[in-house]
Amino acid sequence: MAFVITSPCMQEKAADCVDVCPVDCIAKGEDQYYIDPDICIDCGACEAVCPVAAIYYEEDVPEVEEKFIQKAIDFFKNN
Amino acid sequence: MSDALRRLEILMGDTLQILDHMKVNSVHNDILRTIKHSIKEQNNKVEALSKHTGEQRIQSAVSMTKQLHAINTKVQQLETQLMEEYKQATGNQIESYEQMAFEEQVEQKETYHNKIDYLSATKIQENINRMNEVLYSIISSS
Repeated sequence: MAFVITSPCMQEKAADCVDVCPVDCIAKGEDQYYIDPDICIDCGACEAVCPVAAIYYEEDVPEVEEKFIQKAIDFFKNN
Repeated sequence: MSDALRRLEILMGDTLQILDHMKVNSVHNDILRTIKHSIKEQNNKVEALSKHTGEQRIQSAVSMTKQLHAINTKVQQLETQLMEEYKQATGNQIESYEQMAFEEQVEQKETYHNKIDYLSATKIQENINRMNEVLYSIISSS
């Protein structure tokens, strides 16, 4: 399980999450930031500081945003 | 290199990244160093595994699972110790601490470090279990 960044990040890309992540597991993509699910330790720091509430614990991702779970997996597979 | 072996390498690299970010108390330095060294050793074996076929591949994969189980036992020991330290730092009130706002948690620097190290150890165990799942899939398909 890990935290997942969803669509509100695409308009914002504030990167506050990057600064607080204690294991450096957040990477910048072309259209949004991504959390590496293999490195994320589930501390929730990113969720707490996101100014647009784009970050959810994987189990709590709203149905309409679920595609972002796979999008993050694919991002780290290809980068 | 097959997808399974590539996945194994990624998991090992990611686990080493988590280990590199841990800032445990000096009493845990030896066990942390041993875990890191052992994961690096297994990582070096992935390349060799990619060149093996048939029975040799099965034997190498089985040997790696045994060593990963041994590493995981050490990680479990470390996790138990880190959990205890985290618990003590919060005065046996982990739930209350975690209900605090993020900024307030960070203000209690040492407790926050204890929390991060404990969660890191938990994640490392999870990743080692995933590595073993990949190895089992290699064994069963060889």
